Amino acid sequence: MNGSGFSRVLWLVAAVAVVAGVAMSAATLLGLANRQKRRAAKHGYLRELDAIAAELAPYRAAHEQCRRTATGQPVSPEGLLKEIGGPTADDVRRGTRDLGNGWQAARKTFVFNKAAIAAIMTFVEKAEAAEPPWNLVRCDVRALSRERGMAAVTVELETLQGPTN
Amino acid sequence: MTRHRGIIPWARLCFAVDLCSSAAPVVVRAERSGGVRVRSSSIEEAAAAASRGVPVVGVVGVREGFARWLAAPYPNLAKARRVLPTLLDVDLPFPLEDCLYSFVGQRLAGDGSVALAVGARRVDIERRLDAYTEHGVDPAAAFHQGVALWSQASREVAREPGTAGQRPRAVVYLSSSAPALVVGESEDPAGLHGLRPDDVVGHVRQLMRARFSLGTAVEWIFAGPGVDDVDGLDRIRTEVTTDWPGPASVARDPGEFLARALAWEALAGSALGCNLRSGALVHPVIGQRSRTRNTRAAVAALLAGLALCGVNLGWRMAVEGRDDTLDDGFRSRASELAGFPVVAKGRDAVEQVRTAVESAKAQWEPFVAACHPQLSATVAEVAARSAEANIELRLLTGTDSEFRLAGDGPTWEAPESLVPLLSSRGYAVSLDRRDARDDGRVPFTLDPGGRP
Repeated sequence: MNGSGFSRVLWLVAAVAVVAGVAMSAATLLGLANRQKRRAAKHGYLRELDAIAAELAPYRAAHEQCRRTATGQPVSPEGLLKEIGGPTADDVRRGTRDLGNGWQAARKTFVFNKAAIAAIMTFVEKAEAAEPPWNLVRCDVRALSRERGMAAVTVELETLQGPTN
Repeated sequence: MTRHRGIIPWARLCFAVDLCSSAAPVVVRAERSGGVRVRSSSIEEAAAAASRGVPVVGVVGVREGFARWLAAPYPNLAKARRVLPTLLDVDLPFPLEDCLYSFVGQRLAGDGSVALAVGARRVDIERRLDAYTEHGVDPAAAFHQGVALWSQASREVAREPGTAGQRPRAVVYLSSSAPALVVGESEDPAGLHGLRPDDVVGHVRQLMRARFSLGTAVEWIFAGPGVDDVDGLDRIRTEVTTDWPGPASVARDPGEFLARALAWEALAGSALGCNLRSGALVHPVIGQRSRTRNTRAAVAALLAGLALCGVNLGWRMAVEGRDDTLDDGFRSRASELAGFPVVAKGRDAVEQVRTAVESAKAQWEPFVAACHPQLSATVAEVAARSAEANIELRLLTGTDSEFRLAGDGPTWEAPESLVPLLSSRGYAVSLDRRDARDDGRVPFTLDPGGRP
């Protein structure tokens, strides 16, 4: 290749490089707005995830707390009733429901046809203070008109049992 | 003041050889050192230096070439430049293809533009180069005599302050073989003429009459080896200044005036400077320099293009890297919240996470209830508030979501205090009261409904 041919090829390559560079710059500049829009959208999605995480946080914290506390065998509410010298339940119904991942909610319903309201409240207090607690999930109190402080009471207690139990 | 590049800008030293003015070559040695320093030399010294690579420059006489102003009807210089060859072709008595030429001093004028076409027929240039070769030198550049004379006169003889563009200037070059007259009214020469050696005065008067009316003040400059003929100079000076009066000066070292002009054109350049040894006749050194400059320009353009590509690629990679980091962060956060690897992107991913989280919330609802039991506390508070207000409750039924009360109070207003209590704990209840019984107590019920 003579000098002139070499020069021509060199200019051709240079022109291709310059055109490519200019085209890339143009594409970069034109794509800038789209890229910024996409990035803004991504930041928006991240903020949505943060909001979802904030919603989930108390649930997760509660689950974590239960995982820490529901490690042992729950105490028997009947035993607590005896312990405080409370009335004898006329009926005790038991049930469980599956919460998934090995967790279960054990439920006991105590039916008292006639009981001192104060004694039942003490019983519920004791049950909720147990470790793991038996929480009151339903109560039904119907006063007996003849005797003040006495009522027909139904209390439903529930405790959570973890997978290790 | 405008700075110009010489025709051989890389050279610091050159020899200028004038073969036009007389039978013997007139040679000067010029060196660029701040300005241009010129001293007399000989053709032998020039030939010896040329053999060592020192460039030599020469001249093409006014009568061997042409120099004429062309007017293009375009006020756009680039557009006008395209039609100048055609205009010149029309103007020349021989084919343009046989010539080597340049257009210099192009500028806007009136509604169009003008340019000075400077050139010569190729055969005349070749003939002139052959003459140089006979003297053992090969000029790298050949300048037009008239242009060189005018430029040198502008360098060496300052115009009187305030007269530029007003008083015409005439440079009369006196030599046995190449007498010339260059006239102009502004910074540029208007006419560049070769003179008949046998009737210089008559030819000058003829040309001046054609251009200026008698009595017009003209600034005269005389140069050339013919100036040494004192009687001849006096005669010419007397005759021309009689018809066109004005100051008449003689250039210093008039015999070397043209050679000096060539040296200055080579090393310092001028507004109208151009090398007539071009195209097919270009000197190998000039051609090589031109090719090197061309190659350098191409390499520079190539590097600029590559740099542009590189900068863009780098920028794109950096931005994409940042985007990837953002995507990775988003993906890991979404997967962590959902509890499984989220492959979807953007809105779809958010919706997947929301669905998974709603499911997790439903699953963990009992845990929240277990950690924050409310029912027993609500029952205790309702009992306490009722006791304070002397309310007797006959029925109390409650779960985490519903609450129902029935009883009676001592006044119409007494049960009202229970409504905000239950509302504040998230229960929606509505109060219903009946007329007071005989004992004055007001029966009421609080049933689910209304606003929490």
